Amino acid sequence: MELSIDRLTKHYGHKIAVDRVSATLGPGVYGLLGANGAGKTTLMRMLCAILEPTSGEVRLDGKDVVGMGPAYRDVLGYLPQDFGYYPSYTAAEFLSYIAALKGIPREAAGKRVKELLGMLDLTAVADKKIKTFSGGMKQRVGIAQALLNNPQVLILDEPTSGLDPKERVRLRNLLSEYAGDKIVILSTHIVSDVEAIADVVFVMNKGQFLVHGTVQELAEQVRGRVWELTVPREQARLWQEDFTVANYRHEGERVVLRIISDEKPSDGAVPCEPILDDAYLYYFGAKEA
Amino acid sequence: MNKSELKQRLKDYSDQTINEYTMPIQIEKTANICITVMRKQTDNAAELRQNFWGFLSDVFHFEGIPLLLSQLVVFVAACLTALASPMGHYDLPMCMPLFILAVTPAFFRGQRYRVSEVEAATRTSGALLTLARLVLAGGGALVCLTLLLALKMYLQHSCESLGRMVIYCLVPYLTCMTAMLALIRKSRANGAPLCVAIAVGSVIFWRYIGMIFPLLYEASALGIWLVAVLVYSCLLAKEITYIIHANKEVRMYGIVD
Repeated sequence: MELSIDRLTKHYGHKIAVDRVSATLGPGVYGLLGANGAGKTTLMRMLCAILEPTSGEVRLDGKDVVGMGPAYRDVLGYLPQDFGYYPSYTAAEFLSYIAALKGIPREAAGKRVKELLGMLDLTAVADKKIKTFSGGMKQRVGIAQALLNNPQVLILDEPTSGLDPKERVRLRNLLSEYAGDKIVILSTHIVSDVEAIADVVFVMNKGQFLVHGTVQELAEQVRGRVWELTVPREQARLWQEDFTVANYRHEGERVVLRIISDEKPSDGAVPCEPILDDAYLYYFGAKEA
Repeated sequence: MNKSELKQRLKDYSDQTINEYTMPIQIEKTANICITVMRKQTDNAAELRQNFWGFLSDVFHFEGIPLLLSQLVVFVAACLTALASPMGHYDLPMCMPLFILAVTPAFFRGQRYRVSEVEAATRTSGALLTLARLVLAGGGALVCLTLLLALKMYLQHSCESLGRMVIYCLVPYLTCMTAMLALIRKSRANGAPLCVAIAVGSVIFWRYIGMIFPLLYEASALGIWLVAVLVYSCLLAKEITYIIHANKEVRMYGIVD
């Protein structure tokens, strides 16, 4: 299975939300990393064929997804960023409702709903109204509805927002387990989420893919640009004003700064092992500043 | 190919591998058979998807009762209005936009609760859902209208004006229904409040047009009403055709950006 994105563009009047984005995705987990307003949600909506692109197309195994019609929707699972629900529905009712919209016959839907409620630890609250749920529980209902039709293409927009650390780890494991031969695309601005599960990371800014690669490849791109520098506490603020500081750690009366910089910031700075956070800050912290 | 045949093929393949006597052509053939079987299984899974009537039954299960109950409330109000003025011509037309007002929350609830994006990413893609709601709302209104006309004829002890009353009632109903569908199609963020405003405005309009301009309800003015029915029927048919095409072509329908 292959999902190809070909020069996908979306304009809103004069504003360009997504600008000639191209990529070819095979089975695996893809992370879309970018700041708010980078164009992630617009891209996700176009990948789901719920937003018409200004130009370009998305193809699944060579077929245009808009032209595929229900055949594409049958293999698609989608969790939008702004996940809404009907307050009068219980979790089980809401999932059954979405299953009906997905065209799953009632008997099969009942089994699947039960299975997913169990998988996402919602069985105990299956008959409670969603409006009484915590943010994390609502998000889990959202994830469950996306998985109802056992989708081959799973698109999750900010799936970890509102989840506590335990739930985030649980979701990561679930997605890793689920991925297998499927295409899973998740967008987030939380670096550790993509770092933990994404096979390939796309860094998006101003509607374009700035860079993409595995977590290691992206981290490698900033090798030689990550420095550690120990300075007196009173000087730390000055360094923060002049450089992108990824981390700030107290050591007695001194402060150890992790600085992202093309040039060695000071004679006392020592190069250190880069991580994805550094790459993210390099592209967003340095270039946008 | 049945299960046992597939098993045999896989066994042959396995034997070839075990005996280290692999024949590339044979392996490729086996792999192709397996791919065909897998594709067939996928097709069968797709066939399990429900048809429109199954879907309509599901929509009724989830939305039908509140939708019909709200119409029932309007029906009772219209009955009381008819009882208050048994011989009047413009009491029922005045009530018809209320049937649209009653179903507006159901038609716009996806937008209101931000579920329309999730709904749009399903195989119904919004259009089929609107069509199912339209069938339920239209069916309910048709039953109510029939009963209201029957009541009216009973109160008037005559069926003489039945044809005229049908036309008088259809014009405001069709106008509001067409306006509502146009608002959904145009995906306006303020679609629901606009629809409410149109329905309420229509009630006021049809209430006062009868009082200010009673000649409009004279038999001689029937031509105007017939033209209006034809025009609004065509516009409604156009909207419904658009929904059907949007569903067939899985076009985006009714999603607020």
